Amino acid sequence: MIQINNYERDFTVSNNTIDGMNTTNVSIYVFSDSGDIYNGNVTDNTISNIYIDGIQYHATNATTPPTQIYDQWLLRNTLTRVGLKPLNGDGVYVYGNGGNLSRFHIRDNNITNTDGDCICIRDKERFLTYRNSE
Amino acid sequence: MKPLQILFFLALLIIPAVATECNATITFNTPGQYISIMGSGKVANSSCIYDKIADTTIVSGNATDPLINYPINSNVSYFNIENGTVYLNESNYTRRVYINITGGTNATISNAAVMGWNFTGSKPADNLSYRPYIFANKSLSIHNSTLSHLGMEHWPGTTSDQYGLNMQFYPGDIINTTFTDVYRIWLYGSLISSEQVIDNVFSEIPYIKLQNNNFSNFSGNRLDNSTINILRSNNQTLHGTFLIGHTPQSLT
Repeated sequence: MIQINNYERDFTVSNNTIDGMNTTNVSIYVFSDSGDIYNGNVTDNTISNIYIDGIQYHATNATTPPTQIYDQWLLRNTLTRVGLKPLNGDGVYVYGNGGNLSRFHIRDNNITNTDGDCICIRDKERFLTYRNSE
Repeated sequence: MKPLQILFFLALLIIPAVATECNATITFNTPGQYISIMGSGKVANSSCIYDKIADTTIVSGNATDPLINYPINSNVSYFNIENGTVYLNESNYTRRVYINITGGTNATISNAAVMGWNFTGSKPADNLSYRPYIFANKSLSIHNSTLSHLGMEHWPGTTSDQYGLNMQFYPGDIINTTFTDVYRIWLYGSLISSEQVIDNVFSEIPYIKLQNNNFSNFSGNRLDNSTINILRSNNQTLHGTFLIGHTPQSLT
């Protein structure tokens, strides 16, 4: 797992190859429960063989004010056999969970052979754009 | 001064530095029960620990591949582990075994191996309550080496972890090195550091934490059943990782 956590800014996660070997964790997990995360690039990664989400962004309301994840570019990633049964995760899961997500740019990702959604977005999201080839 | 003269004087400056290798004060501190390496501007390496501690209950094996039975505390200016294997004997209930790089030390591990070792069982250290570890709060660079069987999940009677490799405030570069069965790695910077972690293999490492670093580069690494966690940092690049399998979802 590649995990990007609290107070992280100006990061690049690119050209990584991840074979989950049919395990049950998120491959690239951008998670904030105490500090905002912004200016992130997740680009040109290849992810396969995961039972739950290939890529997940997750803010929370664990703090006051709730955490924010914003200005994120998710571009040209290739995901196959992610979100597999029986766990049925998603290719990309963007989850507000009481926190705030804004200014996400999700473009030109290739997501195939998933048993869940290619891209699932839940709760408190704003200004998200899509242009994908799933 | 002519160029040749300049070269001559430069050579004079360099030669004593080489000739004075291993000129640190190395003793066994009996009250503290640790190996002490001291000396501002001085140099020490793993071989001279063996040479200068003439007690096989403290250091045994040989100069190239010493077996260390007690903690090492170094505040010498230059501490190097080179061209051999340092075996750190498994701790026991009354004594932890570790390398502590502190004070004014600049340290390197180069073309070498550091391995937790169970001397009694003649096997790699495998007791997660007693394995040795490396702690550095001064610069430590690791190149072309192997670190294995280090780090303890909890010291008996406590809940505290001891990371197999814990580099605080001044993490150095880690290049072309293999980490196997190391219980957690923590590279904690000072937000002015910019270490390079390049072309390494991390195998069975449940938690590699990069924290408080600026402009660091984690590239070309292979992770087998390992997790990398980046937090509280600016301008990190994580590029070209080849990651197989996962550890359980890690802590923040």
